[in-house]
Amino acid sequence: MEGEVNKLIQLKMMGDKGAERTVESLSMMLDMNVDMKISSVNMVSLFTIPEIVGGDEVVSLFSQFSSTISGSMFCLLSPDDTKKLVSSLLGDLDNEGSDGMCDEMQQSAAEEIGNIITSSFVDVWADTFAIEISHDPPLFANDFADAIVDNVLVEASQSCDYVILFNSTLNVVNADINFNILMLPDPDSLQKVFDLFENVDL
Amino acid sequence: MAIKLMIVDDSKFMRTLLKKVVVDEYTVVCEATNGIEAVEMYEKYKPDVVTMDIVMPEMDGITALSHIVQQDPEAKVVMCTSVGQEEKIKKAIAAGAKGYVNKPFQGPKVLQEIKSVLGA
Repeated sequence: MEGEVNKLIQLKMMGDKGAERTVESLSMMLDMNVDMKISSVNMVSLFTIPEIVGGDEVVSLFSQFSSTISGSMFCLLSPDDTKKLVSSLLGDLDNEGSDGMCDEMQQSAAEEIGNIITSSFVDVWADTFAIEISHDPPLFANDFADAIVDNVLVEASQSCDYVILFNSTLNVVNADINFNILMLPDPDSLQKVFDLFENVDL
Repeated sequence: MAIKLMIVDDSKFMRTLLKKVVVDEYTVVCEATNGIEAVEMYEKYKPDVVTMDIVMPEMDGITALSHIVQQDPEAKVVMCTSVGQEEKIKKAIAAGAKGYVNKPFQGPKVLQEIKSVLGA
């Protein structure tokens, strides 16, 4: 039992470091104050994840990472928050006339935010274990949150019913923009992660 | 004589941002959106310096860098990427990268790195 608790504590520390690095990167990128509101790691049933993400329409920046450790990352924001964020980032590059769905440049800016967030989390894991982890360019999607996570959950359900879920909420202060960042390591990777923890001092 | 620069990044936003940063100092002769295009365009345009992203579809930046350096061992490539992993940095340097800038970057830092690479 103590061993299992220690593993969760170690995972939580990794999740916190990833969230902290994300806060630094986003603050620099946006030139705004970004705070981490919540960072947690829990073992959850796959069937509860749709409930965790909710059924609202969201913009998702989805990326998969792979190497010794593989998995998926979702960065979820409301469509309104996405527009606010990319407008702020684009500045005079923004096409103020666009409404509704993000235009090509706005989508590209959002994807770059997703890229930096994914790198922030993945780099922490890679540097802690002195390994390389690659990730795909983020994919932009605008859909209902539970539909967005569905594909990943269907694949995960082939091998397990429970997953470790990292869940961080970040807030862009003064702009009231909230991110929900979900990281799901592949279940097969988790044992490798626990083996790697044996050789590091967190 | 104008210094020719190639920008390689799958993100339209990042390419636009980089162009804004470099426009007063260098001539952007071409842009590539993935590693395969980067290798082809390097051969066609023979830029003096390249800014190269790592995370791209089709072919990643480190693989593209290896192909470019094989073509031209004197190639001057600055990796301009969100990836800050120690092992990736070592891999990029081993593949022939002459500089490395992490995103999000400050414009002056990118210019400084490019100048440093050109001056080396």
